[in-house]
Amino acid sequence: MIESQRHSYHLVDPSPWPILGSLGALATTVGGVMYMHSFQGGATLLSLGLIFILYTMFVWWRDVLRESTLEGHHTKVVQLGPRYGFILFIVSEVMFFFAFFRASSHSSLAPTVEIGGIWPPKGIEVLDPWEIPFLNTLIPPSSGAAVTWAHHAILAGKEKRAVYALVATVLLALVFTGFQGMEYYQAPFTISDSIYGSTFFLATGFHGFHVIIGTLFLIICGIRQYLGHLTKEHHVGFEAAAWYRRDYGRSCSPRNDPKLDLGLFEIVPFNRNQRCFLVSRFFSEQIEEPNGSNSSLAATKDIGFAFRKERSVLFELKARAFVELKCDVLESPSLQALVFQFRIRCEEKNPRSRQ
Amino acid sequence: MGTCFSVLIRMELARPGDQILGGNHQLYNVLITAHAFLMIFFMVMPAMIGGSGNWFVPILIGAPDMAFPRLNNISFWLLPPSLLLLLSSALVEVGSGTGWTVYPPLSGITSHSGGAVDSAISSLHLSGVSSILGSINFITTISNMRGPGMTMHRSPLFVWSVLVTAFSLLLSLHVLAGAITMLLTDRNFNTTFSDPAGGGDPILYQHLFRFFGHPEVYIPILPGSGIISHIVSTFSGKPVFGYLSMVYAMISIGVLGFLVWAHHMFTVGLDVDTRAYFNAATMIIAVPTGIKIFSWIATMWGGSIQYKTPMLFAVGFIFLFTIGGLTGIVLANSGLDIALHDTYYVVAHFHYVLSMGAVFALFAGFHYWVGLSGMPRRIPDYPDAYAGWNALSSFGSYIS
Repeated sequence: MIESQRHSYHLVDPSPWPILGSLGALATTVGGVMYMHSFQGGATLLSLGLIFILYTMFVWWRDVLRESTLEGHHTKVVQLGPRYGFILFIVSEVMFFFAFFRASSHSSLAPTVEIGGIWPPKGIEVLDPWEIPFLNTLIPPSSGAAVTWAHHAILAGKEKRAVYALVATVLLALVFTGFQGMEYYQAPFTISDSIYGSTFFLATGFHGFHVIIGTLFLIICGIRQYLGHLTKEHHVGFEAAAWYRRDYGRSCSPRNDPKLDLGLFEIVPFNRNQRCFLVSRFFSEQIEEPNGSNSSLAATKDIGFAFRKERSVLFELKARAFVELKCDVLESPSLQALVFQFRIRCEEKNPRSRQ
Repeated sequence: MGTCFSVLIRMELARPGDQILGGNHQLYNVLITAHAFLMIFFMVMPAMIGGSGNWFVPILIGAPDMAFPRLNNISFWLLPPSLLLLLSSALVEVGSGTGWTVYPPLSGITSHSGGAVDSAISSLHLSGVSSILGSINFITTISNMRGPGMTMHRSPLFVWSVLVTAFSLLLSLHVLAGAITMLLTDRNFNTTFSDPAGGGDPILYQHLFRFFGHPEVYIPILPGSGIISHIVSTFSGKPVFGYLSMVYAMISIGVLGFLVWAHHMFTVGLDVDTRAYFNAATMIIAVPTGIKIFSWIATMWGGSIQYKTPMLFAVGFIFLFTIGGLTGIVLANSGLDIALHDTYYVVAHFHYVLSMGAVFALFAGFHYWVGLSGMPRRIPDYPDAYAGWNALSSFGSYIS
């Protein structure tokens, strides 16, 4: 089936997950309020709501994976979307923690008389910062280093090593979480112990919550990498997880790669002046010489449009980056179709350079 | 619904003494709380950002749709649950009679022991998530999906206004989330963020809330000013005067909005130097705002003006917003604000700048503006000296 659209953006199909997610949110909040005021059924509703929300996230992102990796909708410019979006999301989360840091400094820089005018408050036995906290300060950057290693491995096409690196990343994160949990259990003060306990547990608690989410994200990336979903040019989901872990800026640019053979394509003029072509891929494994032609036409699958640009044809293939196709235009007996066979050298092209 | 609540409020204020509410002052407070939440979070913000923004931004930049259509959808669908929670907060137990600012200790567990305040907090959480997701969507769309040849400096002013609004939302809403989460744990999980007995401070909540609350009030007005720019230029037959200065004025308003939050807190006992800073910073915001007003006037100057309905509303907006803004300058003065804090002068200021073009605002605002700087707000009764103007105002609300 030919999908024709004149732009390279992704118009998603209607989806039930947003409304279901909202219902889950309603159930969670109502259940939460009921639970907090000891109404019957509150805890059940709260748990159901949370499970519902988790399920919605699972199926929503499964859809995104299906659309991008399997159906190839994520062109380069569409990939920029989630990249921007995720950076913005991280920025907003930083502001969330800003509120807790503000709370902490508000209380600690001018301690009130009720806690003895000193900080830490009178009677609080603080945890020794050079014991477990110090260890837990060293582990996250190591995990960040591991995820960077994984990233470089993906970019270099070393898929197995990328899996190992991701396993290392996740293991370190789990160790961190384990130590933090142990510390919570052994802490001599609780959340109810003055503003010190309040700020400590709320800030570290939310932090731990985010760590667990990040670990889950990386586990899923590890699974995807193992299954071969991530290519060296297209791994936005992985990058998002890596940023979440590291908070770094944009990833390094992919390197040029030796020729990548994509097989046999059919390119059909899409409009009369033959500046635009519809590209279809043959489901065929045969590789023939440039001056040959395929005799038997197998099934084709539309994969994108190409625009003639002087002597090369600029492709936008759905599942790959913009590539510049250096090929020899064949003479074809048929005016209707030009059949190409080529080897493509992958070069990253900035889509905006067309504008 | 918000209007109904405001009518109820005015019915109560029609005469001195207790009226229709039968002396139930808690109910009065619940009504004003619900009125504010409804108007801000379920009328102005969805209309400006969700409605106009979602519809017009893609069209104006030549994009086929927003960057994340499904995310857009969940931003919308989070609003009905949020509304439900808000209404239930008004209906359960004694309701949430805290004002939309939900300051502790009135919102603490000893003063409001039922589930109402928790419902209101949950409502705010959900609509906050909705707005944050929406703002991520807008920023990505505007950055990524402009048509070929449309650089940022060629995009329409409404697009710019939505961009600045989206950044303000993105940065300020999570601080609100932190503040109300701390309130929630204070109420239910025995933390002491605002309880002095544990070393906490109610002023902490105020700082965090107002850090959100100030950009939050620029959030309805910036897209509105974007719309006005479009209308004024269309119905004057001229492009907007000073495109670039309008853009930078909007950006400055957005940025400065984050630096002035404590002008809502002049009476809590801040240091005099702190008050002096916030005083000065607030007055500075008048400069870019003035630039915008003058640019609109300059746009109309020498143009061929058609007096169609939108233009009438726009001209009304410019006039009324200016008046309201000038009252804001008066309030910025920390000395004067000591007398005017928590009075109807403040209510006048924000209703003037917030509800534009409505007859109700005209009547009630005249009453607010002209005489009643000393009338206490959020209290359903008042000294008899204010009787006359209150009667006029309530009458005005009936006929509008």
